[in-house]
Amino acid sequence: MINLSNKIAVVAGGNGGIGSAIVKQFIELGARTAILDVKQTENQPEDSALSIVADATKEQDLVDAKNKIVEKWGRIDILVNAIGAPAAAGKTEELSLEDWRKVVDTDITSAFLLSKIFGQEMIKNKYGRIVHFSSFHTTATYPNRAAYNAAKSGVKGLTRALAVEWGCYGITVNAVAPGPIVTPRTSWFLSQSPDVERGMLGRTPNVRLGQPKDVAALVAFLVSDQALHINGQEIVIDGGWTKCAWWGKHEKKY
Amino acid sequence: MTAAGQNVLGGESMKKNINFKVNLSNKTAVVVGGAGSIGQEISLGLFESGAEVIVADLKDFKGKPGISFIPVDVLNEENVKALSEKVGRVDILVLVQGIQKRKPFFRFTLEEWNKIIGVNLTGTFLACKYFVKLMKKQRCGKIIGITSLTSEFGIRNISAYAASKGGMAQFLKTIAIELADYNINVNMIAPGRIKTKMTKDLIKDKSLRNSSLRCIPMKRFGLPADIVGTVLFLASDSSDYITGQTIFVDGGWLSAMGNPKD
Repeated sequence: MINLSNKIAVVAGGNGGIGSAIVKQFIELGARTAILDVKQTENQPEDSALSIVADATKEQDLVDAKNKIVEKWGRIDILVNAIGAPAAAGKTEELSLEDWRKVVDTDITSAFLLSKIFGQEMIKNKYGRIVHFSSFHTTATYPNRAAYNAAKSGVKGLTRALAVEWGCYGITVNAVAPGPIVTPRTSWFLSQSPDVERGMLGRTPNVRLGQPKDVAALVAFLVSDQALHINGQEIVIDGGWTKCAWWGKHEKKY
Repeated sequence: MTAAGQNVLGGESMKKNINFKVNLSNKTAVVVGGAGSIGQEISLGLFESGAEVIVADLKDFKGKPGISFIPVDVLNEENVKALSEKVGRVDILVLVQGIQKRKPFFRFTLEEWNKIIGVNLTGTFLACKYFVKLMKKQRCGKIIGITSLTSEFGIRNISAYAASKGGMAQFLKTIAIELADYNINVNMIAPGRIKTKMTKDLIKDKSLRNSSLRCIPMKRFGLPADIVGTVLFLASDSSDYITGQTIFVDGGWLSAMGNPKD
């Protein structure tokens, strides 16, 4: 049984489809949770949640956020970085430098800054759990999302680097790589045509689409004491999609 | 993107013309399974690069004059041992012997399972065991295992083959480490869907053919000749610092997820 009581967590991108599920899970498991996002988070329990408006690509924003959390709760044990730029960006031969930088900044510069600023606290306390979000696109990919793929693969590399660098401080750094998850952001994509959902189900050995709570459960495990010895790993959560080389149709038999 | 079955370069009918030249003269190559579809092309490629080539196979090799043939049953240890003694010297050992059966795993009999694991995996072990003796004495050698995309990824209904190839990949990776200080390189090539006798049924069936082509960004099946260039590279001194690696030769299959609208 996972117990996060007495833990202080930060969830960056905590308003998002997956981020908000993680926040909910953490609070249920007893963690006091700071929700970092570009907009205020409404309707959270006052004693266990703290909404902080911050842009994770701005270092000063994060320093301010850290000070606020440490002032309120004394330390930081857990950092979950659930920030992600939209995946689709268009053809690479037509991609503007500006759009490229936007995606790279959103996904990987923020991962660096969040790790740096909150990691400083963890190094001080000789304890920390960091979970970044890469993507199952680090394994195999669709066309027309080069910036996203590069940035998320960069997050995977950063995860590995930090795991090696900070393991000696009692900090673990892992990455979660989701396949398609049903969130407000992906629902527009799924709603384009029934073929999209059908196609995705046909590619998923488990014949279901992922839910935010599936991902939240994995994150909760990775930050818990049960995962003490897991460090530097990327855990793919995609119903088996990227382990199946065959693109035949999977049919549900359960 | 063009229709399935065609690529902009001319689709499946594209003729292979291997221009990659390596000099393997004064090298002796043994190709275990060299009479098969891919094995034959590999044997020819090595021969044309100047190597002395010995095909070791259960079935007869009706290849080219100049390439010798020694029958071997890789399931028979005495046979493999005798083969290595007869050859006497080997610089390049290619393991391309392979058999396959496709059906749900619970329908495999133990006998069928053992046969596939035996030829593909145990055959690899035995061939390495005896030929490595020669390579160790020489303080040099190249072992090239032809594994499969299924050594790492799942495809339905080829459990025994996938297990044998996954085992082969891990076995070869392990001996790459054990043999590194003897200056022996051990690497693997993992082909995707190649047009061979083994895949004839899959390629013949129109719907299976089209669904396979959907997976392959290059929109064509590989030809046995597509494997040869990589074999020559791994057999040559251009790859002297590469060991324990797998090169996927699959037209981009494993890098792709297709198109979300597919």
